[in-house]
Amino acid sequence: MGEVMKMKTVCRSCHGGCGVIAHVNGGKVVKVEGDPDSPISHGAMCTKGLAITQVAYHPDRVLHPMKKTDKGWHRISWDEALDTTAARFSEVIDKYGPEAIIVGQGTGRDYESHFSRFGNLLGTPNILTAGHMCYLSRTGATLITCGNLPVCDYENNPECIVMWAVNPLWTNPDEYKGVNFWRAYEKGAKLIVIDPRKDFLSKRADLWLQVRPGTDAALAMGFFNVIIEEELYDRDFVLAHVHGWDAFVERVKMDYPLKRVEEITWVQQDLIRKAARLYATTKPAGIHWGVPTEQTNNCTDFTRIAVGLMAATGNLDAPGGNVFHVPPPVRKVSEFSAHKALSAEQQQKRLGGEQYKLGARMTFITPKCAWDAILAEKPYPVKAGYLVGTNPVVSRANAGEVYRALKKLDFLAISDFFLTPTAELADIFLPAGTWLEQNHVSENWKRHGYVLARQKVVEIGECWQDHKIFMELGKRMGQQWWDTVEDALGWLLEPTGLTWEQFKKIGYLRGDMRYYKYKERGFSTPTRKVELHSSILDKWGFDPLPKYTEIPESPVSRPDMVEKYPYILNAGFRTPTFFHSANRNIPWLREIRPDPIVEIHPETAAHHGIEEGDWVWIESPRGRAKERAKLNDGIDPRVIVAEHGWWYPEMNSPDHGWDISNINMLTDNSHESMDPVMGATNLRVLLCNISPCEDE
Amino acid sequence: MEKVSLTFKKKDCMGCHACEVACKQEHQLGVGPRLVRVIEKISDYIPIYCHHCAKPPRKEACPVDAITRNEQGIVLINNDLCIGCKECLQACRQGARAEVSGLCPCGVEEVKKLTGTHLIAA
Repeated sequence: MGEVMKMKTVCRSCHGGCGVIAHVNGGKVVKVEGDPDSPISHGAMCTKGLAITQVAYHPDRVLHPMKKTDKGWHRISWDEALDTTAARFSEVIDKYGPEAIIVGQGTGRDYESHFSRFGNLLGTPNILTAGHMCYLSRTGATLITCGNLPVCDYENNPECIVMWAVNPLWTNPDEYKGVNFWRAYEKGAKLIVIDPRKDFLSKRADLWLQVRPGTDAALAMGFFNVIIEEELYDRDFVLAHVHGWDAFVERVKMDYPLKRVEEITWVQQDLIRKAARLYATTKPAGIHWGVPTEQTNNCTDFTRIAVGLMAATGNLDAPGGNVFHVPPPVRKVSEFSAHKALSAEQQQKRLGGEQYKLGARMTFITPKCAWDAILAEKPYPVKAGYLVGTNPVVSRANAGEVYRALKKLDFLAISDFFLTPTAELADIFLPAGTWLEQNHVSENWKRHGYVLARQKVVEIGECWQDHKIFMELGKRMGQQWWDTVEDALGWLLEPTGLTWEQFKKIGYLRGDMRYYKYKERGFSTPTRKVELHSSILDKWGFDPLPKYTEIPESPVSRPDMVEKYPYILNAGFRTPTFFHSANRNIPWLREIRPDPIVEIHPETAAHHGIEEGDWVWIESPRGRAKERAKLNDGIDPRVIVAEHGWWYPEMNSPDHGWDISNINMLTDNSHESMDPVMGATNLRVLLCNISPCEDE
Repeated sequence: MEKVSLTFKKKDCMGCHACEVACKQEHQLGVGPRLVRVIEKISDYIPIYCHHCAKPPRKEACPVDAITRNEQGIVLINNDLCIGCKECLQACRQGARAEVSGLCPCGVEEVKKLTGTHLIAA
């Protein structure tokens, strides 16, 4: 054993950005631990980050470029991989135009700037990301409502925290880390939890609202009903800074009396009233919300109503409320992305852009449009794809259609760590570096006010960090990039006066935070006010006021289906060890959670003769998946809760069991089921039935 | 010598399982031995770990006296004496509950050096 060298870097096993100290011995990372000096994670790490050495040095990891022939996968050089990919893309561009190439990513491994730049310089408007129903959709809805994403300001000790459809102690960090919430909670903040499941936080909560899955927007209108009726709003703020207040009040009074809200949400009126009072009368108070509210047809409207609550209670951009963090003066992801390089003519070709106008403004497409263009070649054919760190046959709705579409592409290049079921459909595999193998000004796209130095700790095999792959492939296609990854980072850092080497030593930068910024310049919306009546949606021909729209497949909207599919499926349950479809092959993590879990109320299970640990078929009109039963008396007997992201890396066949326990075999991606302005897919709430697996 | 202990606040366990992976990494363990384990009993999370009991049932159960408790209050297994019979696992209330397969050795690295006693995963 040689000497252990310790290097600071930043995790990216999820979206966390937690500070890490990597222990390196003989050119190999032997251990990672949390960095107590990290300004955002304060030394905490989760299972996913702690297991990075088992990802990086996994025996199945692909360490060199490969191409697929009739005889399977073969090792090739980077030159051959990139030349082949560039040549195939050029053929497609010559014949069909650049819009016939889909450029896609998953949740992104912190290369969004490079990913978007590659797509824009390629000339394709067809950028396929999770953004239509995750984070970017949240951001888009806040941009048109109050000009920026309001983040719960744990640092300034909210006295009341509303944890709305999220558990930051387990997942979904984005701007947030569980440790910061926990510190604020431990200081005595009141806690309101809105969650269909009883769990650690709902048991700790002062008030737990067990909402019918997917009806959060109606519940938020119920909050407003109480706040308006009892005049608990900040009158001065509303008068000065809210656009459309009177019309909105009218809608709340007309359409959302508490009795009706209770019918929609299953939450008792008294409880809604108590929660609304607690939130509105405790100052400061913050709302922290997660993806479940985005992954339905109410995506945009829920976020708009939530922003309304923050505004009406005077908590917007107030310390300890929901604030707009000021970024450090590095160049923005949007500038690096070169969105202006995409011509107006190409922008107009964005698939679904005419329909999903807010999604198009956020520069993404909804996946359904991509699958339609591939399979039906409408409105024009899509022939090739470049998918980066994404496994859509497992993670996107209506997985059967996704699989058929990707299989039909003339050419598909994939960049990833492992041969996932999606990667197995590709023609070229480009081996990507993990966060241990990445230099980056990280977290630049987030709205928490920091950038952090992720520095390359090791190189493994022939893997390249994705940023370099985008650059080198782009250069082969005549695109303008920097000579090296680090040169590009230098350009990002230029306004700070720091070089990449200097930034690495400092570790992080924080913007100069100020509060109540609207007092000087208003909000960044067309009226300079918080737009409860959205002038942008109005201009586009959508309902300018937010509302709850019934879930497209529910006992309310589809009583005709209830006999065959009597339960509400709450799909996509997240667990701490996995990040979407990742980590099922990581021994330390799979040992903790060996099987996909479906939670069933004991009464419901008994009705079907299902016992704890039994394998269960979950079925919808679109397909079925099997998961292992766990009985949970903390859910409503009418609700079934199922994990997402499951495939079986240990299965040696190229499909790796992608269709066995994949909850997205059941989900719907029809246009009717989506958010009408964003194009958010409903990955969360649908009707299902259950039955014991007879063959197990 | 001052008593040392590893404290779990059971009521604050939120089921993140990070302690399990941290333990595996620290002691270079693969799949199998689980020196600490969080049991999920909906909707409770119960961390199971070595309590380093004052009168360890494991010590009582060991036929070859490989298990001792030192002056710091740490229960240790002497690797050289252990015959691998796993009687101790049966005897331990914590271990039997959750198939926790060994004694948590965290925080005793220095003790190891001082005493020359080895810690093992059964």
